[in-house]
Amino acid sequence: MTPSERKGERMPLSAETDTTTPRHLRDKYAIVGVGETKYSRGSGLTTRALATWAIRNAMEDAGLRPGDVDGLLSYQYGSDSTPSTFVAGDLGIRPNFFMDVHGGGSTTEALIGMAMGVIEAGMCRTVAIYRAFNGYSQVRIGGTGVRAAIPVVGDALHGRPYGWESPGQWFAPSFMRHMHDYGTTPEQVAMVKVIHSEHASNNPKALYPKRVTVEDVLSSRMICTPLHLLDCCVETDSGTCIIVTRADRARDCRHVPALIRATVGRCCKPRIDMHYQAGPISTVAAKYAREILWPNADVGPEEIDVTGSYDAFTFTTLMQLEDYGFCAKGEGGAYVSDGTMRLSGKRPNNTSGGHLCEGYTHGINMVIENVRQLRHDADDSCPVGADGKRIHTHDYREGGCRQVRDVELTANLGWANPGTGSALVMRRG
Amino acid sequence: MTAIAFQRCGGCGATWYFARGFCPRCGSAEPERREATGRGTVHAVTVVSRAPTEALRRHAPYTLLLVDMAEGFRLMAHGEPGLAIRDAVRAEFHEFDGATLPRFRRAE
Repeated sequence: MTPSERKGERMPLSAETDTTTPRHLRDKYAIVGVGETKYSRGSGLTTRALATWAIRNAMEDAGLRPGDVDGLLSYQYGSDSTPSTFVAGDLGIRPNFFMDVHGGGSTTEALIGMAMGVIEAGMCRTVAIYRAFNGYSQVRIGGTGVRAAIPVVGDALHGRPYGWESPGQWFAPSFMRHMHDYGTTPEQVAMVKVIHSEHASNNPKALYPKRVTVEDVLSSRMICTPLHLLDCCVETDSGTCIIVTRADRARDCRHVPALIRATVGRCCKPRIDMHYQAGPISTVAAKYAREILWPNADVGPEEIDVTGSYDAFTFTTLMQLEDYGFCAKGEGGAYVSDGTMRLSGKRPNNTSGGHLCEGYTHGINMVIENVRQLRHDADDSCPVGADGKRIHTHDYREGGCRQVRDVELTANLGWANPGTGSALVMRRG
Repeated sequence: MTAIAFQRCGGCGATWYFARGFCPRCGSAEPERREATGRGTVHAVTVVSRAPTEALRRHAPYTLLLVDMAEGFRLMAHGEPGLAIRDAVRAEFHEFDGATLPRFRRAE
């Protein structure tokens, strides 16, 4: 079709395209292993070493040997990691499939869907998905450190002249507009950090396990309005891994499988290149992703027990919960501050402490945490019984339990930017 | 004279900021180059206190804006301190780290 023949005809938007996955895949695949290295600021390890340790730990968690894993998927942002080709050999894995993709936030859930796809296509049997980067000691997301020497390309080019080149600055206009449009207050949003810090205080792995107050958040120095330092996540060095295989194979593994109900991968608003150019910027990609997520999962937000809403910033948690329908549009401020997200609340969020407190991983640690919640085996400080499983007290005081009662369904809401998001619903197997 | 240029679709009338070969709405390949009046309304504002690079440290704090222009497109720009969402603004220009950028002031 020539441009003149197309005249007057509107190009389709994502929400008008049928992108739903076949429903027969519901519960057919599972996450059977999770693993990570220490979350630190200065790992002293290469990203290759971080990746191999994380995958090794996930294989051990699942009860799998290197010969059982024949697929690898990884993601990296601006060449900040080591690709599968090096990692596989170190682990004794001979891949039948591997792929290393570009991307940061919202990639985890998308790769879980891709892992299901390649196994479904008969390309391999079991896929290890990993993310390994020295996000503090090597390539920092904000543009300083090694990243300052990386050439600015593509979409980032137009922001550089304005000094608009870190994620906080990219997202700030959406956050400011949300406050303007819906009366969302800094005090409400600060509660995201407060609650996630409570969770982190019950997570021995957390990089920042200290509980903070609303006053602590609001008195921390301003980075760019409306983001104070404590509204921002913590740059972290770590390796992280999850292992996906078919549910019938999952029965041979060590733990109760986390069955995959539905995935949405990198679902976008109508303009993803410069999302702010058109339309309401106080609405994010979740508005479109939810139209795929909930029908595919065959559950709705009201049935979800635990959420993992991406907290690169306090505001990202709020905007996603709101646009996935956990509360009415514009009521995100009340939702994140009324206690719902606490361990003792109706629907706890980011029970590990998330990116704000446990460590920043571009989303994968929030999936790891929900897998553990679905196993009813969060790795807190509760005593371990004779069967090797923790005896959870459900006493959520500082330093105590962080296992939520009777978790059956979880949702992960991954964020790349206001224009792009991914999501995952899992069920206890 | 320095001005803010934009494109307008000869087919459907859509306007946009970054130059393209065809209309992102209807696909017509006959965009016209126009110059904006410089008048607009603040859509969003953020004040950057912590500059993203060493080179920009001396400029901080600076004010970033999204402006809804009178001609119907939205652009990123700098602004004078103290601007708020919905303020009526008009464009001026300033030098920032070696580039000429639109910088908006409150319209009288």
